[in-house]
Amino acid sequence: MNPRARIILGGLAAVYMLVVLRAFHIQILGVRGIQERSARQYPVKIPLVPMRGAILDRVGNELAVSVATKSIFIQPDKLKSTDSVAELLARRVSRPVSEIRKLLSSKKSFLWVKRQMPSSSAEEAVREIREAVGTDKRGGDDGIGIVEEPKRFYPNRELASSLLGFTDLDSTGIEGVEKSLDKYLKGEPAFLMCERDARGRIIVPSTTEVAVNSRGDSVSLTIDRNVQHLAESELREAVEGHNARGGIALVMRPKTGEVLAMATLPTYNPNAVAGGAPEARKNRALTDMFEPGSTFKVFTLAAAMEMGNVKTSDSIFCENGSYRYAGRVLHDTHGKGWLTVPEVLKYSSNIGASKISERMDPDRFHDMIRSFGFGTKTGIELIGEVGGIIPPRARFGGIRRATVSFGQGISVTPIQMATAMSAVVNGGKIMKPYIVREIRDPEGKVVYRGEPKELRRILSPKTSERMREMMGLVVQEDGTGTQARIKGFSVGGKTGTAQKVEVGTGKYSPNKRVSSFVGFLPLQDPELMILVVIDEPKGQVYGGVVAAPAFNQIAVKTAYYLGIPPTEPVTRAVARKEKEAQKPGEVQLTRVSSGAPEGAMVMPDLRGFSMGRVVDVMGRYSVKLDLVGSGVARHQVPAAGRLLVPGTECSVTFGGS
Amino acid sequence: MNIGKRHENLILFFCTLILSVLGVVVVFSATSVTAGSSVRLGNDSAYFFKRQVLFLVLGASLAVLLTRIDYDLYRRRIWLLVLGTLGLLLLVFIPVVGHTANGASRWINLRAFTFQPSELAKFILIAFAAWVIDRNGENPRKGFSAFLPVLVVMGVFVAAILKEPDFGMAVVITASLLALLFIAGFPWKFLAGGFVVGLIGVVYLIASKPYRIKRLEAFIDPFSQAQAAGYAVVQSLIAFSNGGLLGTGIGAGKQKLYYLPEIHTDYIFSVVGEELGFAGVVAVGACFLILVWVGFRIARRARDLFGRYLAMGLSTVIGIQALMNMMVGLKMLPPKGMVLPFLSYGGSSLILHLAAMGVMINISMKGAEAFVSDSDRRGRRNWRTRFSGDSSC
Repeated sequence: MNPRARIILGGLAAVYMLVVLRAFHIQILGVRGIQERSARQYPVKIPLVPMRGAILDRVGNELAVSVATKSIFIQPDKLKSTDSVAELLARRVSRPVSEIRKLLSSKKSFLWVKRQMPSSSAEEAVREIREAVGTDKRGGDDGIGIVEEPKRFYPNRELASSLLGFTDLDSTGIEGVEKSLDKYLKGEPAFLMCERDARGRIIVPSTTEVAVNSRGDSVSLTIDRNVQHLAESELREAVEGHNARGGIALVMRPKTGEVLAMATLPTYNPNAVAGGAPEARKNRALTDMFEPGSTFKVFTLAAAMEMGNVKTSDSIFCENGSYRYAGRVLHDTHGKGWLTVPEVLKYSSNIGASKISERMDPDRFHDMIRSFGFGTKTGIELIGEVGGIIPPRARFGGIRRATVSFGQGISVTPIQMATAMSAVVNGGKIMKPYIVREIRDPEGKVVYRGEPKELRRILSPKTSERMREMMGLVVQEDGTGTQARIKGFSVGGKTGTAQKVEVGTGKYSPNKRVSSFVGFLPLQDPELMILVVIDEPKGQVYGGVVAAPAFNQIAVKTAYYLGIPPTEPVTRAVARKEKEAQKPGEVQLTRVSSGAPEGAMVMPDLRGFSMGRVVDVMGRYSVKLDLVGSGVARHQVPAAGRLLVPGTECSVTFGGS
Repeated sequence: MNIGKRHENLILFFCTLILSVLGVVVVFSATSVTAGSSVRLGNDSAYFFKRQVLFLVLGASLAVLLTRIDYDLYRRRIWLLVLGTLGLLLLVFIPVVGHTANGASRWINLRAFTFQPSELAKFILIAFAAWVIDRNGENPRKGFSAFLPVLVVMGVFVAAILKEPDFGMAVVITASLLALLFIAGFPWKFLAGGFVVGLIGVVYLIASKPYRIKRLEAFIDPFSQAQAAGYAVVQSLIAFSNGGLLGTGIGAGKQKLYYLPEIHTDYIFSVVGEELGFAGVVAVGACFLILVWVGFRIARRARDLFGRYLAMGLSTVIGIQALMNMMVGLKMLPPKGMVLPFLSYGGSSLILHLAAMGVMINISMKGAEAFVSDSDRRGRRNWRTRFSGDSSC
């Protein structure tokens, strides 16, 4: 060959080798700048709702869970849209056709049509649309698809709704526990990873059903679902029975500050938030202030006793019901003459309380009120709490001090009242109220544990004991709270009835009242602190009549449910209940006649009962009740007809109906 | 290495087949998404595919036809071819007849199709150079002046092509013809002088058009203006980078999603790099190199000097154009609009390159015939008798 031809051929071969080397450099060795740019230019992240953590009660029952739903998206630039597609889509997702048409003609490259639909109906809708536009049934990049997204679901509907709160469509907590603990529950942001072309159009991966990996922490509350349920149903009975505007019931453990139930009325269904009134959504146990009325006398007496200004043996002259003081006349409902200090509480004498408060230094009394926690937030983990209003220290004298001594001219929240009252009876310690039992990350590791926290000591154990005894008198014969009495347990408590301050005028309303009862049991070693507040009852307004019966029912059922050992023989109680139970269709409670231990009963057949009904029925026995699962009762231990002794452990398993 | 004429023809045939069929596949892959969503193209994702298949059939038919036509025809009709082509080349500047795209008037409008005369000019100029060499003989005593007609005619053609403008084509033609003249014995000193003149010319041409300066800047640092002038180069590099060793697989590339402009023509090699990876790059490059090598083998045993230089010229021009296209895609040369022979989408290019292969096979066949019949019209057998040992093929 011509040597010059060899040069040309060789030259071309050499250039080819250079090309191969260059390609080797870029393709095999890799150039970081190019690779980074490549990695940067395709990905598009479409935010999805992360799998929110569950809210559980203290034994693991689900109060709020996230369930898998399907969301339908369209890509208007890819979907062959016709009028029939718009109509089909509109019908399937129940949105107006005009709206769907607008979506279909949008310039955006990714749009949600309907979010969080039931899986089957979303799939059916997409299948139908695909048939209509004639694309492969299995889909692909045809402009319509499904992405899995979780939706918040509250299996117990209204139960604890104002406490739990709710979330918006994007799984952000809006109220209640959902909002307060949002940072734990929410989980890491989740994304649908897509790619885009150079024109910004989004290419959704062919497997559009993306599992959501991101999960939030689950929160276990101190709430017990069954206690919450019975507190709510008893509260409802009281509110409806007295045509009241609303009500609040709190069940706490006075020794620890744990909240076992926090019920408010009116209520709403958090699964359909749109239907709930704003009034129903707030957690009134924290946000509502009320003038406590007579229940506040407990604190006046406790303060005076603690500071040594009175002794239980002291007698107070109660002016036969009418007492002129600092230019005003104080009245008692039932005028009395000389009363001992415990009797002042038992008969709830305003004049007596006022005279006791006169014995105290106003500043020190004021300090004590603050120490009880009034005027400041309790610090419970929930948002929206208010601090209440107490008169300023500088103007805390004369008539103002006198009215505060019996609960007027001071505003408190239910949680403050329950917390302060717990301190009075638990030996004198202010326990910080708490509602979060523990928080676990998705792997089950505990990231937070709620523990009892003593904030400060305000009373000596001796004063506390005296106060318990005095409050026990309130429910005794001719006290104001006789309806709070429970057979089987010795209880203590205090009634309260206060005029409401009219919003706007700031004056006392002539007929609107807040009736309350705060009580605890057992008297000597309190395990339960229960507060019932009824807002604007009609007809009867006295706390001892309106709120005490609800307290009674909550207390007896909770005590039996939790297996708190009775302090008194229960035979009489059962006998009385037995008579009440003899209604058609009701469970027959059979007392075992002879040879059986005192108070022994026979286990009824619970199968087919709802959990609420089981709690109602079993609440009449002094047994330990263990409820497992949800739905209707399927299985029980012991079997129907077996002997029940107080303290027996009963287990009922629930299942789907 | 000794391979017979039939083997040479077979290798040529298979290299052409592999490249052009791969071209059809890659063009389909590169255009299906964009054509499918283009209202102008009737949302026909196979628009470019169908047309390329048509071009392939037409080109293959033409190539078969040309294997049957003695290439001596082109020698005898050379002035007709040269003047006819020049006429076509000038037609592009006439409005209505000429078709302008992306600011360049390179095409003649044929309603549903367009024709690019510069693709034809490329081959006709090769034929013209072969004709001149055939008349004067290799290493002519007249020296430089013997090649002067080639330089003059080339100058006219290149001037017309630069006017379109089609800088890339001008470079390819100039480089190929100079290579051919070099083989034929073009004096070194003139080649060196021509190189200097050419360099000055290139610098002048680049400086005269701002967009060429931009392209050069983009070439030097494409990432600094990745969204502007350097965009295509960067996207091409990303395509190669995405490909890795074996590529993403045919159809699975992402750069065709509007990232890489002119992907089915100028940057089709980047699609090969992305979807078939380094392996595809090496294989496609090797096909071209084998094609050039076989072309030179055919040239060696051609019947006459015209056939010999025609064969070498056709091989050289295809080889140079292919390598320059690859080097642009790999950022080894500044960007210039230039297709990859056989693979890029385009009727003129594919049909004419296939036709050139037809001519090449004809040269090969005639060379063998001449040897067997031992009849040499022009009495230039002396250079060929060295290969008598190949007669058994």
